[in-house]
Amino acid sequence: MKLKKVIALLLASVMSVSILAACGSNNDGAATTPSTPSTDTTSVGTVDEAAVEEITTGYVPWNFSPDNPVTISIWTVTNSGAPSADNIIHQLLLDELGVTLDMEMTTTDNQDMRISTMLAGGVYPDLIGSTHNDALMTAGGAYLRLDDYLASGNWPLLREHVEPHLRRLSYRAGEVEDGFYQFPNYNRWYGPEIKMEDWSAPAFWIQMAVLEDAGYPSLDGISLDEYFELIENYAAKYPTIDGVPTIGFTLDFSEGRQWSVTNNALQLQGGANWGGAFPDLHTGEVRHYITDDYARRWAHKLMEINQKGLLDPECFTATADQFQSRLASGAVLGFPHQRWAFSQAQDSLRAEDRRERTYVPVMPTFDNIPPHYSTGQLMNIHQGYGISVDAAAAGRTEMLLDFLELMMTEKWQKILFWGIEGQDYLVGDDGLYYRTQDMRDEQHDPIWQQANQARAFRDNLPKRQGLWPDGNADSAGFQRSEFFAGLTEYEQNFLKSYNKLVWADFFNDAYPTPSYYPIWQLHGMLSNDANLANVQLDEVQYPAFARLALATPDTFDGLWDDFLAQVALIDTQLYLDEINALIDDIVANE
Amino acid sequence: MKTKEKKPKRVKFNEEHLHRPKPQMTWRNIWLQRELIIMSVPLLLYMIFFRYVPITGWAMAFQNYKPAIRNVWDQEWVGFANFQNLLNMNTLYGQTFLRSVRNTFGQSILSMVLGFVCAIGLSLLLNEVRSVGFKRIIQNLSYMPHFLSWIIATGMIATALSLPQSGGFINIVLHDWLGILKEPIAFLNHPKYFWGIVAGGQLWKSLGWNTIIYLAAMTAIDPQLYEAAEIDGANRWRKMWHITLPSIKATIVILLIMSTGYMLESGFEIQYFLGAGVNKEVAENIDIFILRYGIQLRAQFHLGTVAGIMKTIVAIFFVASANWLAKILGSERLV
Repeated sequence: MKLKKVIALLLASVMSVSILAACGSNNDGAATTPSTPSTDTTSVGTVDEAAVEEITTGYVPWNFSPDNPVTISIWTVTNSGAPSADNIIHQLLLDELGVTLDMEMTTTDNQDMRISTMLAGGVYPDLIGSTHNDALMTAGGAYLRLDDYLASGNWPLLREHVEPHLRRLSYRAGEVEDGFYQFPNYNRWYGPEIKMEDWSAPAFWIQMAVLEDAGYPSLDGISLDEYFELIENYAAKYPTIDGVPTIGFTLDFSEGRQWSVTNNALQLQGGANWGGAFPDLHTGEVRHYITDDYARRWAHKLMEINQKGLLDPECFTATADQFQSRLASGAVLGFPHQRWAFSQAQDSLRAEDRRERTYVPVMPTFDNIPPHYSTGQLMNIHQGYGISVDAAAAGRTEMLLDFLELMMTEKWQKILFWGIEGQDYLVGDDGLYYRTQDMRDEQHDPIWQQANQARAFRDNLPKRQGLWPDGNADSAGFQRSEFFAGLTEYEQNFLKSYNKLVWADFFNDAYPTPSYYPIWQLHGMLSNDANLANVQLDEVQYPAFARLALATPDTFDGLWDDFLAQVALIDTQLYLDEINALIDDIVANE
Repeated sequence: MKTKEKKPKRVKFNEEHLHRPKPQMTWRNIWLQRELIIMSVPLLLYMIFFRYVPITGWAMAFQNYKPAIRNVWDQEWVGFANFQNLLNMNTLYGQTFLRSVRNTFGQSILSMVLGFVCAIGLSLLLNEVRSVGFKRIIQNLSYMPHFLSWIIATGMIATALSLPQSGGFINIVLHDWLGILKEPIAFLNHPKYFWGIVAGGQLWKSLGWNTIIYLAAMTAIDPQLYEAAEIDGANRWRKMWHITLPSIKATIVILLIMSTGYMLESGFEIQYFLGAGVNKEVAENIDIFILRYGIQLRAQFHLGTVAGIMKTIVAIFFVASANWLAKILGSERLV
């Protein structure tokens, strides 16, 4: 008995000690502190004259070399797959620079959840690649303010990247100090924009086969009815496509993408991609459009095509992945979205050489209103990498800026966006890069991409878009010669039938937009209450549109009135007032 | 295990003891119970650290919480403004919260009733099965879904409920094979089915598991009772009704009391993963409200905390009243 007591006592004390120990062991995952930078400057000095100049002014950049390994932790929002363990580009970063990228990826639809839990936890990786329009991460204090670092002149390429647009890129909603926090990821053009594919314009996409079958009908001034007529006729003629039942029209109603359905109410009345509100074409006053008559007609049209059995009955419960895999099956004839949102599906159809199942954009409108779907490729704001406050506290800011600066050099930009010479591209006699057909085919293969491209890393990386001094574009997608060489005969015929040169020509010519365009990019500058009102409007309009689309002609009107009653509960005026004030401020500072 | 060294001072616990004045906490008593007290320390610490310390976070409910200010105690205090905000029925938030409370009760009452009736029914039936092999097979089959994670389970449920071309097994059976349905139904496109889907999904996943405790209670029933009943000419239904059910009554009551505490937890995963699109308004329960409006959308942690506090208060009220009710009915009690 004595022994049992002793054992019990021992057990008890061991348990309490171990629990206490567990409580205290939370400090493990702290970032490794960098060793002191060595004075060797060659690895950065070779890349840019301006950088060399700066080095002579006394700033000593981090020595990136395999002898001086460093791990950079990154959280990034991307729809690209994770790099495989033997990824060539990641291996190259390690072999040449001693940099290991410790990547954590979140898909767009899970972004707001991940951001909030990160803010609640208050622990951040070195680089944060958030793409939230409301600049939640910045407002939550996760990013380091970079103005003073850029002003120091130690990172000339990064400074050049943002300087002309600094005011536009700066956060000034008051939650944290006003200033510059995030490098823009896409569409900061050096020189004129290259027109090839328009990645950011919304459109009603349609399968090439549908247009081919209808004898290449004119798409100019097409109405929404005509668009659905094309789809209806094709679906009636071909009830299955390669054994899969034909889906006439689908929607991406996955979390965080529902705007791809509701925003069309604006494009259908001739508006550009403004966001949830826009300056009225007649009065110039900013207003929401989701409750207007055009929005009602759009919802009614969805209801009609659902009654005809053309609408994918399961689109309202599908995830973003399921949406893309449905497109990749080749059985979907049309859907509204922006080009970047289904690039995996388009790539996979191209990789399978089912080009007739890939999609081209159509710009239907109501009442013959001229379409304004495209506004040229818009620079992203509050989207891209920035440095976390945790990295700054650990003294890693300079190292991380040095790394980003290095990634901005021609050498690394070409490695990241073209690939490795001889393997991903060849250099022609004229100095222009080109790919063999095998290389091109590989590039469309998602599995190959994971092993050979650093997609997840580069998505949020600042890009020097435009032409390099040697005449090559920033990436193969924007290389004109490469674009034409990559077209199949089917695609050449298709373009010829429509008398178009490139895919972007299916859009309207970009027309000039005011300096405060688009309104969705202003959300990062709104007060919390105004943003909350906007979020509430989204929370009401998305399920309402799902209900309206699935309604019957008898129930539609009642549901529409319910929707208006719900919207009336929201302080939308607060949002509009703040937007108007912002616009006045922007116009006054032009 | 019997001990010879039983301390003479220890009194055997009995019913009368309840009505006597509480035993005094003296140094002597503490010393006598030292082993027990020391053994309870780790668990006590666990409770303090993981159950009570986090309650300090409730401070957020009275603040205009901003994550950029990293310390909870440096935030701006706003009194009960957040509570007023959430309970104001003229705002969308108030209405959404009210809706989420309604959904929580609807879903959990449906799940609870269905779960209890089916689990007790199945265990009664299993108890009567004579073939051990058959009993084992049924038990194992009904346990299995319990070991699936919810994300897999919801995926299976979503597929089962989808249209035949997406592999919707329920539609294939009801429409293609049996012809009961004239048209296949996309069950997830009709909000009216959603509570039923929640209750059914939870039943499917937990039925077998929940029978275990009842079956265990049934094994403790004295076989002599059945023999006596048999001699009196009772058939199997009579034995079930007059012997088995009364014998497990205590277990049923205890489980009912415990489950009232979970009344406000109508589940999370199934509503979260399947409650998209049109189902949103019938799916959103309090937990999802907290997640969505407190965390996911714009990191309104104070709002989520307010909703969480209200949920806790109501849950305590429920457990207390169920316990009180059990006392009145003269049944087993939790405390």
